[in-house]
Amino acid sequence: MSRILLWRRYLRMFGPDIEADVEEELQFHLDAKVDELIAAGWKLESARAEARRHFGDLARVSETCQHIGKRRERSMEHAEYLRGWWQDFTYAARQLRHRWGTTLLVVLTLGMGIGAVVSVFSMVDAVLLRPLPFPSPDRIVTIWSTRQGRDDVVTPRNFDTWRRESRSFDRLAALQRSTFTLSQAGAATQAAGGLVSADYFSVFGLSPELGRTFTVEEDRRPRAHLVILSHRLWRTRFGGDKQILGSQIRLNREPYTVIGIMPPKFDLRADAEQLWVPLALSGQEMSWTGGILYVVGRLRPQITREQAQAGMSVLARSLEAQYPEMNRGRGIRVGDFAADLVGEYRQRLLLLLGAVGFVLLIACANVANLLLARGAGRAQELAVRAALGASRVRIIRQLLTESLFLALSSTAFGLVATMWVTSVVRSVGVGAIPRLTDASVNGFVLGGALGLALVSTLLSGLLPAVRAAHVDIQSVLRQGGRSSPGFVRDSVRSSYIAAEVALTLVLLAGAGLLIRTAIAAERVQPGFSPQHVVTGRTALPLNTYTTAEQVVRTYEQLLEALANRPGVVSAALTSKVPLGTSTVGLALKPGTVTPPMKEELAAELRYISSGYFTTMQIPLRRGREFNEHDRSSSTQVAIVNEILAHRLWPAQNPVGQQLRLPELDTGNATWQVVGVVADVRDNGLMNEPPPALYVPLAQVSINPWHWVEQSLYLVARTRTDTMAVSDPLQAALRTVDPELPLGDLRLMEERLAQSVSIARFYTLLLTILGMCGLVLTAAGIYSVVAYFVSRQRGEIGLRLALGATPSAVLLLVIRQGMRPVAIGIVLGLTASVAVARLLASQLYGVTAADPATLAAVATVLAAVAALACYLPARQAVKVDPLVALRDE
Amino acid sequence: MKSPSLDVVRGTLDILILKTLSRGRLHGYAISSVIRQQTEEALLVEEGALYPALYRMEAKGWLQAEWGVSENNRRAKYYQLSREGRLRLRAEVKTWEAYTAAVAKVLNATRLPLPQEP
Repeated sequence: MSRILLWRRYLRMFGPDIEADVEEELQFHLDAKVDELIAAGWKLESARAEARRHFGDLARVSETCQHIGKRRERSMEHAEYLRGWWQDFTYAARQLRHRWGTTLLVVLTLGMGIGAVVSVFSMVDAVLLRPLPFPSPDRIVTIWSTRQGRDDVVTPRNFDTWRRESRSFDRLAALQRSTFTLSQAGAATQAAGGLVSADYFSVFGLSPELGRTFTVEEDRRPRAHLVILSHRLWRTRFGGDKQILGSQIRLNREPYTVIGIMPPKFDLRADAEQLWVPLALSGQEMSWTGGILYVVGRLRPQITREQAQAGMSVLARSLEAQYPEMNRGRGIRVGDFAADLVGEYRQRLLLLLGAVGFVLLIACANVANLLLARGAGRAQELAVRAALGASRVRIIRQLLTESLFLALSSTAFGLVATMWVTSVVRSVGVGAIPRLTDASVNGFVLGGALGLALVSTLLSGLLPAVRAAHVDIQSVLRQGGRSSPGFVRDSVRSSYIAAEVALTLVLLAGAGLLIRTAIAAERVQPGFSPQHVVTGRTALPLNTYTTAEQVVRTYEQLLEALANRPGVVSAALTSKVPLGTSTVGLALKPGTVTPPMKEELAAELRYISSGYFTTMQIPLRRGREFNEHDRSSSTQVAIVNEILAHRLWPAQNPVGQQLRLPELDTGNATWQVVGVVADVRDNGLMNEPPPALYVPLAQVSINPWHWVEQSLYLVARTRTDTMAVSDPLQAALRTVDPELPLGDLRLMEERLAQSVSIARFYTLLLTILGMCGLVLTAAGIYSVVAYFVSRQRGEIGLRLALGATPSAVLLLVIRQGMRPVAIGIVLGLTASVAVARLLASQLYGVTAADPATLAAVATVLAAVAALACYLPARQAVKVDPLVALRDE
Repeated sequence: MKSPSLDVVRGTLDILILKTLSRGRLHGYAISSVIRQQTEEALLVEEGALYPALYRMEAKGWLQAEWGVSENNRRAKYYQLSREGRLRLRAEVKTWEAYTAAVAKVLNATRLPLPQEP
């Protein structure tokens, strides 16, 4: 301590002019020498010369000394600066410990805010920001065949042409998603898998963890019985046994040789493909007009995605001329693989990040108000410090250090919360979102958290610090820190409240719109009755069941067995259940005979057994259902849903009309419409029902059976759902062929719940965030009004003494508190209209600028704010005029 | 300079300065004078070495410097030992004594005549 003081004295007396000091010191030495020589009898002139000579190289000594002195000066300044910060820091720690109540409140508030933001940020980092774990992942693209702006899978012919004629890609590969029956030790299960072209894996730049991938020769007919397993399947089903390589497993009842295991980083999603076999497109498949392939490619070096897109668009036009039946009106889209992988979750995650950011801003505003109030309470302390010579900058720095201290403690708290959240996310594993389970607190996230701490320090601490430092020393010292008129109508505090209210309103409006969407979705009629309906999918192996007759006969046996199970009310078969995750769905272009179609129309095709509409309780609007007389030998019949009927024959009775389905049968055969059924929300409750066409499975020829891998869903309506879900289906399968698989087994009610689960979870999250905002804002309003009241005790006491009624005082305080709230609500409403537009794609049954929702949340907010004003206002009325005035 | 003097051996300047200052604060010129007088002009402290050494020791925190007024009423920079400087002096003296004792032992053991002064 004494050393510092000494140094300061030195500094203050002479300033940091090292050069002059050195010169002066050496000059003193020379003069002293000259004096000594003169005393010994020298002449002045010669004494001076002798002194200089004796000293030696004066310039060099001087320079050396200056150098050492300056370096010392710098290191002392540095040390002084650090010591200043350390002082601030220990002082801050003391201050905060002293006011531990406020400190705890701030750390909890800010910590929650920071924790929420960092949690979402760690997910955004894992899902959106971190590049895919492949070499140059930005070169990987997806290529879609588009129709009316919507992505569609690609026909083999188109894929083949793209591969041969496009110049933009190093490699172009295709995947046909499929479900395989994996038999192990007598039990058969289904596994998602893919048929892939030979260079599929090299598009991703990946080599297998073990073994090899397919060669070009193996990608030809006859299809080689080779399989590559995903790391996950290898681990879970084969115990990670390396001996599996080269041995055989049973897929679709045939032996396949395992030639490779892919590395774990290829398991991007929980529902991704688990095994791959060669695609080996046949000549017959080349003529299919329906798409089956997902195409991925690796861009050539120096080719941008835009250039590739331009090239493919040109190719699309030439393909339309060359193969009009499969390319009329179709375009091609070259998409970013990573973006397509994440899909709509990108927007949801970013919106969530925005929402938690809002909560943090509200928390910051609250903390700022707390600090402002405390700054006012500390006016005297700060005035004393200023009077003792602390500069304004120094006081601001002191207060900001306190804020930084708070923010860092809050960040530590927030990080603990984040680790908890990410570990929950990892263990729960939200399967549908790719790579979400990779979310963790890494260096990048940590950096983000620290940045956040700094930002929130400045947001919450800068203004209070600046204001506290600008306190008028004299008046504060004179008044002893009690009420000064400057604090009464405090515009800064009011604007913080207005900002909080506006932010909360936006959050609540977003949550409100999503809640309205959820309610609307709840009210939506799915178009079928899901109660007590069990569904599960099976598939007949292509090698055992080779003809359409065999397939149809087996399925009819299965249906009969199922219908006869005890407890089964009615049973049916279908190629796709509503809301099913199955990828087996076909688009086709029904060509009408009369009148001729002007433009194409896509419709989803289903093969169903008789009794399907009865079992699902899908109402029949006109005509009849299919029955046992609709055989392959009889007239080809079809049933359309209302949407399709309306599109095709807006003014006519659809029943009795003729349809041509060129994709279903190559000949010129026609299909007669025998019935119209109600629309079913096949693709999710919040999506409009698609046009659908049903044909009896007895009239399906072998090719269309191959499209669905000869698989169908078994549907059974049971008396109750207390019995084990799989029992009737499993039993029916066993009676027909014990080796048939059963997959995607679920109650229809479960499917219904699942289809809205993510949207519902999201709604819940936003609602929680909105509520957090509301609580924080209410607390903020309360504390500010309470502060006003405590500061205005004198004024209130005076008013009461002069005869103001308590209710008038109450009104006055509430009006004062509600003014910024009103401003905030107006701002918030304006902002909500703009922000809600971002939500539009997730809304259903409600518009983004829904006046009712906005009015409702504004009312709720105003009511809560009024309550938050009322409680402290009541305290104001209880002021005893005498006591209040005496205090003044 | 009538009588011939030895230049101060490198490394011993510090100990001489510290010892000189142990009796009180002095300015640079006084330090060199005191050393000269105390060694009866046997040791000559060169100014070219003295001042850099003073600055260096000040930077190390062994010395504290302060401007004051000299005997003849001129502004002069005075040096004095800090607490660290005192500790340093004690350590240096110990080292020096051990060093000279060791050297003396060697010299005695070999029974060589002491080197004559030139």
